[in-house]
Amino acid sequence: MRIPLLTSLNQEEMTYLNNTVLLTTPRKILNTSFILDTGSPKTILSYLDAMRLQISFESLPKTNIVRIGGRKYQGYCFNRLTFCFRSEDGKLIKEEFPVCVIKPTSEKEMEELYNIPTIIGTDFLKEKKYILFCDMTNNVAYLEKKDEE
Amino acid sequence: MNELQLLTCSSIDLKWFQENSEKLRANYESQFVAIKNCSVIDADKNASILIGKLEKKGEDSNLVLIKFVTPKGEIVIL
Repeated sequence: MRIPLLTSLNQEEMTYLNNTVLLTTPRKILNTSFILDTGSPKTILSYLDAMRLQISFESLPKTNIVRIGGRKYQGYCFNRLTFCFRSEDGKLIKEEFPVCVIKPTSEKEMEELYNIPTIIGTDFLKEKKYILFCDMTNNVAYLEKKDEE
Repeated sequence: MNELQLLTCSSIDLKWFQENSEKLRANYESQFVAIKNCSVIDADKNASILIGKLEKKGEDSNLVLIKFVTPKGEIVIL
């Protein structure tokens, strides 16, 4: 089973591995996009997506300090998020996974965080047993999970 | 629209956004844009205000893809 990733090679500044995802909490659903970042050890729910899902930071336990773009942010753990992807053969794939949410402490930080997308990190690949295939030359990338026997 | 249909449409919208980012930059540089059916249905420099605008139009803002149009010459490195 494969989850396709867009590579957008025709736009030099947008050669991210990305695609859309539906994020669901017990209360809300959100249509958004993610970037697959093998340089990130943690999966991060963007501040904008957290706001749109109306996640309250007050009830969340603190995790590590997260450094993004030269700034440090307090991370919080949110356990009740489900990622819904569309597989290459048109099936719905749901993966429940705990994420780190980062919180700004000023207006300036909030502006900066609004531009940071939701990031799927290597923890997701490892825990959920996905293999990343990436051939930028031929514009093909996907996440693959072997069907459980 | 069920979840699969929404994901299919949304992925097409994302691809359209990425393929047309240069053209979109002319009108929406440094703005958040709301994309539906391969067109920009609203935009604003402030994401919260954009969400408010969508709700006023009767859109369920959580079902609309929102993307930031980066300024020319700027890339986001995470």
